Amino acid sequence: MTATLSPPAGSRRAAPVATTAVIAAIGCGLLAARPALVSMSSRPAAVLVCLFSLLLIVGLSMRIPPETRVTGARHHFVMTTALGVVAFAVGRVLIGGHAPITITLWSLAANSLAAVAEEVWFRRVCFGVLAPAGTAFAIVASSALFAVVHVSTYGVSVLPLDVAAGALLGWQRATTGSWRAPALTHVLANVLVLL
Amino acid sequence: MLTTGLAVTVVYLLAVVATAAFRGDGARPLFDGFVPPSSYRFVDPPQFFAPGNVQPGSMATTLALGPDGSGPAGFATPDGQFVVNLARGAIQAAPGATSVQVQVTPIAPRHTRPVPGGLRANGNVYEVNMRYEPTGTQVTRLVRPATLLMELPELGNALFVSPDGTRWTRLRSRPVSADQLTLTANFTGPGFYVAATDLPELVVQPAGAQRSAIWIGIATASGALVLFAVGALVVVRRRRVREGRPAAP
Repeated sequence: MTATLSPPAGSRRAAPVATTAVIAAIGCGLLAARPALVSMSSRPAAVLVCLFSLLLIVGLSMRIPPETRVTGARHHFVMTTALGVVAFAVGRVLIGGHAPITITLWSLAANSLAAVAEEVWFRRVCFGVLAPAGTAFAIVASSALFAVVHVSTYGVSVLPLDVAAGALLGWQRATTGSWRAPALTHVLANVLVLL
Repeated sequence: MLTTGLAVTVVYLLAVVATAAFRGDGARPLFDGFVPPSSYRFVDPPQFFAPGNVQPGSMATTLALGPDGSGPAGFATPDGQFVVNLARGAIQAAPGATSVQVQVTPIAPRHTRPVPGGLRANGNVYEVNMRYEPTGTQVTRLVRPATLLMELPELGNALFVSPDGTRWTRLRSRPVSADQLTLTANFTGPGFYVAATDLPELVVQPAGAQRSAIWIGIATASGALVLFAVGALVVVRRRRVREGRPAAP
């Protein structure tokens, strides 16, 4: 792991960090409560688009401790993204089965939005809040959150898979110092599932 | 760095194998739930598709009969979910008959026998009735080829026909649209038609579960706050240790 985030210095930054943590926790709660949110509307897809768009916008606009510059960042980005995509591709071959939904322009766009929004939330916001406590802690804790929010939608059976997927994406975040590599990997992983 | 990445990758692949073995429903797990809205119209929609469902339409039409039987003709339900094209002479002439009354009615799959082979109905069952007019005699079969197009709500390439909705026979069918949600097959005559799929039924949690999702959300948010607090505590302890002060008990 070459990228770590500096802990917030001084009490002046404690309040913003605490606010960010509360907002991050609320976002995780909203993601976990997805089935309830969707059931309240006659247009579930519109609800999900709104939710993920909100997470994306809020996640990108939130002030978090600055991402650490990594030496040879471009090299790390290419290598870690490639490793992640290869891992998800091999996983896709191993799991076999069939696509859960039809691949259309809509499903590609919607799943890509969800993937990017989730990466902004878990690998930018949550990871950013957790990173001062240590990179390993940030990876494990953000992976656990990533997995837990999916339980209400997909059931407990995908918990280990999502923890492992979250760890892989978290490792990419730690290695590259940015949420962009896991976001790109997550988008491609979803495309692989749909193909 | 690479060693850690490879180790995490191996763990991920082991989780994939374990999940595939444990779930056993054949569906690949998606990392985000995002199912496109279906424009398919159900008579009796599954719970997942119930919000916003519009009832499908039935249709009735009259086809003229000549000495050589019916002319080239087609008929479709108003929503285009069930379309039939008949070649010239597909319905043979009958003594005393001047036309054929065609009726297509969508019905809920629960009113017929389940399709065989561990599949489940994929959309409505369509009942096709053909009756010679004015004699009222039923048309039982076609003598020339006809083509059927059926829209589907979900992926699946099986299509069944039954004379009475109890004994299903699989038709050779193939998808024709880019989105794989339209099947074509030979239209064999009046009877019951239904598409089928081996996909697991899309799950909608019951009302109780939806309420519980709110509690799961609250619990998750609380758990996240605890994690963040633990992280903050670790930072504070480290800082105190670094500054040479004793850590808080």
